[in-house]
Amino acid sequence: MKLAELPLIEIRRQLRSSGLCFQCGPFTTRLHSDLLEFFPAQIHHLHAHYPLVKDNSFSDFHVHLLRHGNRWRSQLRFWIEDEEMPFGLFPLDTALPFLEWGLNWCVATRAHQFLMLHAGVLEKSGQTLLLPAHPGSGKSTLCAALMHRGWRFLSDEFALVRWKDTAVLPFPRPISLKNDSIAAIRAFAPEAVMGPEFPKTPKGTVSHLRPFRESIERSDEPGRVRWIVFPRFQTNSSLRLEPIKKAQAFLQLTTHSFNYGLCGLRGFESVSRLIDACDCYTFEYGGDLEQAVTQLNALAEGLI
Amino acid sequence: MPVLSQQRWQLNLSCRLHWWKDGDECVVFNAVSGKTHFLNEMGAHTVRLLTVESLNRKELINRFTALYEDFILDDDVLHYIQDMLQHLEDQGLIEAVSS
Repeated sequence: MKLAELPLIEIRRQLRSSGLCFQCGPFTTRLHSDLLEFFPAQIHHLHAHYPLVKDNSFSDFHVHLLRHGNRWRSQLRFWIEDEEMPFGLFPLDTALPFLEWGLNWCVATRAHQFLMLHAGVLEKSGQTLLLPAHPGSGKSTLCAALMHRGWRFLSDEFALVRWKDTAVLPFPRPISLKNDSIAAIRAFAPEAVMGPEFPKTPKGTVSHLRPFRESIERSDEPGRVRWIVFPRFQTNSSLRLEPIKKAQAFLQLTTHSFNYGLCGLRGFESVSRLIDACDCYTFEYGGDLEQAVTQLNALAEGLI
Repeated sequence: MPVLSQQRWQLNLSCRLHWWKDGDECVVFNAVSGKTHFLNEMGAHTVRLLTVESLNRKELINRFTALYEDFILDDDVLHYIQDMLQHLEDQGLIEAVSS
């Protein structure tokens, strides 16, 4: 059963009782909340295609999004069972962005069964593209654009690299678009299903893009990385896809990892295998998303 | 001919190095420090040579002369080698030993 099939009244009941339990990629999240007015509808809309998990199943993350304060000045806090709070209090109407950031925090600080890279992951014709990037590089915008032009979307935030074979496990969470990229994607893909806009968050205005149903239904099909492309958005710059030396790509990739430093030799060996299997590029792009997609399509079709 | 000191160098004995190579360039992981290092061709050769035996600069230069056909020692090259040895020592990959 998928989350979309659950009536709102039942979502509310689960949130305030045993928790709403759903699967995304390799993780099961159990979400508790007493924010029952607008938040359940946002979850219902944005997480529509995620499969629900039976009430008594194991959950990787037990997260709580609860009101704090009094009736005149109520805020929200995010916490994880038996753990510290990763953020301070935040406004009630920013529950959804903080839930997403909170889940990112859960994964980044706990999922050491994978080599974790801060990267977008997409696939075309059975070959996977890794887009490792620092915040503000246009990674999420590219992910959204490629998904709307036929690429299978595996992940926006985390590349979860399996130790044994360096396959990348899908983790198709909502794509978090910020500021100008919200309008850019609305113009590029008017059919895109997006959640509300949240202005004045610590990252500016944020809106979430719902992944395609197919991405979520194929969450058990890992990707084999064929290309590593380091994107960089630069306003008005011309398109430039340039090969880089693998040693440079190696070092750059380690800087995009959440846990390379913790993993010792295993991390080094995994990055070695990833780099050996890939062609590596830097990719500078300006405002023209259609042109950027065309260039990456050409790469996937072997025309570059 | 520049004057060369008799200082000898060897691989830092506390290192446990793992190598990844692409063409002339290497990435080296030190399993003891947990650090990852980039080495260009000459840096990689130096570390490999000093893994086998300790060498002073003169001996090291003799090895480079044998390795590279176009190797010509002048002040610039000597400074480069001195800087490289210092850098490798700073990174904890090699260490100075008494003669």
